[in-house]
Amino acid sequence: MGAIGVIALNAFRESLRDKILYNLVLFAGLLIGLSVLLADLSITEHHKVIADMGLAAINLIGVIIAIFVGISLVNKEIERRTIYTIMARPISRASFVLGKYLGLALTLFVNLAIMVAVFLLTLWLYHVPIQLSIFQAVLLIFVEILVVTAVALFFSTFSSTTLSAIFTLGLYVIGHLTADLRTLVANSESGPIKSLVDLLYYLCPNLDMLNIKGQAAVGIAAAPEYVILASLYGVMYAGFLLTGACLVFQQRDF
Amino acid sequence: MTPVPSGSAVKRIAGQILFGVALLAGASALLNALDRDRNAVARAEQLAYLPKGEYLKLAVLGYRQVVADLIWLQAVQHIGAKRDTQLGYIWTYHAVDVLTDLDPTFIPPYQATGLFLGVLVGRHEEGVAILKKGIQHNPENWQLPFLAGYISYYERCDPAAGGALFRIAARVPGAPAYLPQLAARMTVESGDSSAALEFLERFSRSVTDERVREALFRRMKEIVQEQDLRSLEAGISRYRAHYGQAPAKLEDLLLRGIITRLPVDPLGGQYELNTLTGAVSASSTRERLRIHEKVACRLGRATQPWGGAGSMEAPLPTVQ
Repeated sequence: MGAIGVIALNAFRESLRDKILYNLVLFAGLLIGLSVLLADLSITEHHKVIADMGLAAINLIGVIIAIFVGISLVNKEIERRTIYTIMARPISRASFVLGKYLGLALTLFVNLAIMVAVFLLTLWLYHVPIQLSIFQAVLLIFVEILVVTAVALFFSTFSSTTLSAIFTLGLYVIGHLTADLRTLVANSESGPIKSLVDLLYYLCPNLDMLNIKGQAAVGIAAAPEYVILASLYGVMYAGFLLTGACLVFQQRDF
Repeated sequence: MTPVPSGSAVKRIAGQILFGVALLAGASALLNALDRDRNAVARAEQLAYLPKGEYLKLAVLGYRQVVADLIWLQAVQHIGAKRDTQLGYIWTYHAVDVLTDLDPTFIPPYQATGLFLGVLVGRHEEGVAILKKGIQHNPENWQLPFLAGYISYYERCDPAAGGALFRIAARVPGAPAYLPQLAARMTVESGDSSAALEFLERFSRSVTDERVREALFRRMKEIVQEQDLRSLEAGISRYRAHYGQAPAKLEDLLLRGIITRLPVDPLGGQYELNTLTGAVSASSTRERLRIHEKVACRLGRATQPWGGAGSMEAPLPTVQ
């Protein structure tokens, strides 16, 4: 196993030690509790609301973990000064950053897999049809979480934990609004504003492209090409941020 | 002191920068492709999946107004968009219904959606429904009942319902002084397009949104055009009655003194005569049929095409 793999595995173990997976209890409680509460609604709305809430909870919990664990991945090593022992070994800084990222991605994957299992069980218990669209939405939620983790890691390589959290949250919100912003200024007369918004549109992540929860909850599957292209977009954008994170981290003095 | 990077380090950094830029370029190209996939109609479709306001209220915690603003930001993109489909209108209605559940005192969505659905795209039921919801939550606003009254009176040919709404508008404290007189005129002179024009002109003065005002101006021009077409067709009937045949061209009406001037299409097109049927059409609009049906209803010579409750036989209400 290469250096990246060892660091990834360590990061995964560390997050387990930090009891990250305890959030699953919250998730299961929320989802099942809500489903019981909503059981007296009319049948179709009941189905849609359970699917809506389940997907939203999976997404929200995934993003929260991605942000708050992502921003502390590098900073914690620096604060505890354990970074010196790692850097003293023949491990490149890029491998360190990539290893940390993959470790958290693995944690998030396990977390997501368990959440999805609970979600599917709830759907089955309440006779909500389980369709392809649910899996498509979950796949794109995972891609979104990968992008958010990369954003958090990128900011944490050059700013404090608090600032990284604020920046990441900000970019997460912007990521869901860029398309609307672009449509809004499409009718604008000002050329420079249009160009600026276009630049921002391509520079910021477009997380709305990864959001198909609405249609998934009513059982409408997206075109497979769309899901593939959107996943590829998310992975490439995360790659771009990781390259930036590696570049910045290589220039830092300890 | 910062160490000076060696030649290989510089190359490595340059390589990483190039790699990052290539990834961003690739991601941007994919985003472009995705944009084409998820076009305006597909984006409008997203509005259809919004959960009902009563559930959304619980989920958005204390951020109801902000979420309402964000939904409005999306919905407003589809208001006035020519490429939208009938389904798109229903989604827009749903989105505005949801956002006004979250923030019932947010007036512009009621007004713009009522105007868009009820006046511009012919979905009168939804237009009046959203305005009535606004009236219920904002009884101090006179524009909402007045617009709903206009839609009932002129667009739906339901003067009874229109009159009731005008009376509500006129009773609102702070409503303009001209309102009771105009309302009275509109309810008494049912089907009078010049009264409708006066309404739209007055109403446009109270509107601050440029897009809404433009839409109102467009509607005013359509009504003027409809008046022109009706007067030309009446002239053709008179011509036919007098000379036993339809005129060969519209100018003949002027030459024979049937009309005093040839009207100019306010929408920039040409008025054209169909010599076979004697009907006149405008090259600038294809929607004459819809307006035509309403004219028939106003003149009381046909059943109402929309199956509404209003009737010309119903006693005309008066404004106090």
